[in-house]
Amino acid sequence: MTVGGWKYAAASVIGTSHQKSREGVCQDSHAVRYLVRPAVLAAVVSDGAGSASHAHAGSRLTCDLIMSEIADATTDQLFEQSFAHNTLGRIQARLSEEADRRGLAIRDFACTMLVAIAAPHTTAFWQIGDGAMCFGEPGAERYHYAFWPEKGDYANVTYFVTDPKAHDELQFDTVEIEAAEIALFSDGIERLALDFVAGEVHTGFFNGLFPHMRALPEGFSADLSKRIDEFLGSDRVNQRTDDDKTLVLASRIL
Amino acid sequence: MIAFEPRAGLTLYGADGRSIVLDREIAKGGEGSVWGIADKPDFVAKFYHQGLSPEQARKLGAMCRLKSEHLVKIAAWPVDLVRPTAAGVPQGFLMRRINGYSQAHLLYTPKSRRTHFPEAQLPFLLHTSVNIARAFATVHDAGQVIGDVNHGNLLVSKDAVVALIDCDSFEIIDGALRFPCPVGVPTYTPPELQGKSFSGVQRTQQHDTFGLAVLVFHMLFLGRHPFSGIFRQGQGDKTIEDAIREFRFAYSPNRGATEMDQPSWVPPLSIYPPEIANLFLRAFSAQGASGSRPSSHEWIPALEGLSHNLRRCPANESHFYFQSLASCPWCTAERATGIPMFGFTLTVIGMQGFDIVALWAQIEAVRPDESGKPIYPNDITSQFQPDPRIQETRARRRKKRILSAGSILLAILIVSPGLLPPAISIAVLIGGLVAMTTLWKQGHPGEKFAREHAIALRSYEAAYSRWDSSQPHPEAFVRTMKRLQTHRHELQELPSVRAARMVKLQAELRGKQLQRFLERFKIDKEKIAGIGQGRKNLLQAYGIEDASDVRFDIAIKGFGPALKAALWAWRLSKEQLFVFNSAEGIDPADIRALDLELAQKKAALVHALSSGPAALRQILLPWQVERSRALANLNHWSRAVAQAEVNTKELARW
Repeated sequence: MTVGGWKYAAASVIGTSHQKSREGVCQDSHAVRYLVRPAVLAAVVSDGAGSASHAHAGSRLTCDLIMSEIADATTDQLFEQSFAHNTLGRIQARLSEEADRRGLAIRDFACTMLVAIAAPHTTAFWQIGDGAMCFGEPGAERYHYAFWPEKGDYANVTYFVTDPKAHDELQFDTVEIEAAEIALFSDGIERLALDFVAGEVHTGFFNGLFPHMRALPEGFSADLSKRIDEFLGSDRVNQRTDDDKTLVLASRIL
Repeated sequence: MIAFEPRAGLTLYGADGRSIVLDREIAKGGEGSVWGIADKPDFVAKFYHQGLSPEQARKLGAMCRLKSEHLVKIAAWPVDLVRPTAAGVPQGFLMRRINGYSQAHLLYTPKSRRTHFPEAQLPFLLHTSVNIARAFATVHDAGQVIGDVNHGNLLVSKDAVVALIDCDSFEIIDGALRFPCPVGVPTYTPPELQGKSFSGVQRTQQHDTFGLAVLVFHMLFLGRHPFSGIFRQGQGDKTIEDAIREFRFAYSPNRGATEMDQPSWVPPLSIYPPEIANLFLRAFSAQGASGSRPSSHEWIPALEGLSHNLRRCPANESHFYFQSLASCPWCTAERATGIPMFGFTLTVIGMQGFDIVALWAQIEAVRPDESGKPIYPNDITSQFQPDPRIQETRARRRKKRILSAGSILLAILIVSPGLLPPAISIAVLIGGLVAMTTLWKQGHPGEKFAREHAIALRSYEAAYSRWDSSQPHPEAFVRTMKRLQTHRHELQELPSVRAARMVKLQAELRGKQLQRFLERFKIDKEKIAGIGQGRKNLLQAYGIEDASDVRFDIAIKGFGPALKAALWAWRLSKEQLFVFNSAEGIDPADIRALDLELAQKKAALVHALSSGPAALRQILLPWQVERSRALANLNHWSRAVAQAEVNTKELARW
């Protein structure tokens, strides 16, 4: 089985402030996989809204639906903005259906969406809501970000795929470089990964993570995922955030 | 002239020729320095960096002559000039040392009050206010004027005693001579002097009483300035100086004239008796400015009167208020701000009357109030009706859509008979298409409602997050509760601790008697099997002199197992002779020491427990306020979301 040389790992961990109130349910979800046809690495993170009673289901459905949409697309379609909007439309329809079925409002499934689709020389990024995505080229010393998190008047305010105007808030970009290292993370660890004073990526943060991937075998690493899980649950992270947190890492640097 | 330079050990001379010796510098400011004096701990000497000008020396000289016992008591009044030689030029002056006082603002601002005057409540503030008025009255009775009234020149002790400092800036009248006060602080300056230069103005006692009224206002109104409020006219707030000049007393009931609103969280003037309210109104009015401002003497009986007419709040023992009021104004202010207004007194309760059960009931009664449930949009959407304006929007849209469909139909109708040339047919069709899309777009539904929906969702999420984070009880509350539980447990355990300690003393008593008994059997004088004089000497060398010293595991070279066993058997044989004398009892001194130790421990525990209810309430207050605000905010946005969803649904209909 080919995985295009990609190695990847991911974990979502519940925030300390939610451990009691939500009976231990983490509202973040993620999905990361190498798809043979089309030959891309696809990674998704979705952060469920605190106010949404079914945010966990919302973020799960969103991740799964995006993965299956990507698997059904052709390589040409994948990097079109229209594909992102079509996918968003399908997510909204699916969540709306789910809400009707359970006698709820679509708002009860509110969640964000971070998507990275990486082919050898093109990578597409889509985003609604907070969290961020970073990537690096082989041999480069610095990491780039896809979209800088925009903080509105309130730090807690964000956009969700369920918003009536979500299409207006969808951020889309493609980069024509070889993104050999990609990270997606929810807002719980934004402050660790991004330097909000300098307005750039905390290179030191990723330099502490990506080199661990070099020695890994190709494909999904359960071992590294376990270590990410431990890191996200560690005091170092919990001192900075009481929110749920997710980190997805993918690398194809040897 | 060489500038005078004070230094430790320097000898200076007073007016009567007596010498003083500088000890060390106590304080240094922009203007000068203050020095302690050897063997005169109650006085200090003040020097100016610039030296004393002849005018200053004359003013201070006059003040020294005018000094009185009363003035020295309430102010750092100059008492003597000091000179480098007995006949030299004065270089500084002596004044009473004001020690252990704090600046007045540390008392009147609620936050610093709790740190610097932790036990000060309204009676203390009234007492201080009376003392401030008395201090002003003393200066005025002496025919003098303070001039530069401000909170920095007023110090307050832990006993509410006040002292006016920086007296060298006072306006001094010495017979026909007048020594002016050239400085002032604008927020304490009366309207008639606002904006004027202080240098040409004659300061009067009437001017001082404006500053006095401001200071008393600070004391009684949580450190607020009487002229700081919300100006209802024009853009932005008035400066305090402008408000003073324009007689805009923010707390005046005549709001039409002042055009000012007081800050909503500060209690109104009416929480004090009418006599006090009237004094403030007179002091800050235009009439006051024309000479009828209350004198410093007038404040004293009014403030003292209130001191005798206070009630203690049943809900919070740190709150005192005018007894004619229907409810506690401080509870209202605390609910509005989340800030405790007063510290609380640690009451030491007599050991006998102390009732832990009742106190613990009080402690347990302080629970976080978690009444009030959030409303979620799903629960209330059915209660909302769509915005009536949506009917209009939809009607307009229907019209546009019908026109849109009509326009393309019309175009098709025109071209379908095939009578027109192809070019014109195409043009007509294109025209029809353009009309169709334009009209359709014009009929697009209300952007306004979509925007409202987006804002409602966004704000609802923020409100939810705030509500969510207001849920856990404050950590300090949990910690304090745990500590109080430990204290209660320790207190309840005290009798058994005493019993255990007595048992221990008793057991030690047996040991002590046995020790004394065994000490009587000197190895020297005993006959022990197998142990002759030589071995006795050896034991002696190892400090084993009597039966009490013998252990079964002694390690002495030359003492094999058989000898050791013989020695131990000897000791046991003596021990068997011992009879414990229970009648002897424990040394009473030991019991006294134990009881004293336990009494101290108990006092400390009672002390800590007694302050428990108040401490817990103080910790809970800000949490409680935040919780109810977060709840109100969440419910507000829940309703907004419900309304927006109903609107959006209605909007989606044909």
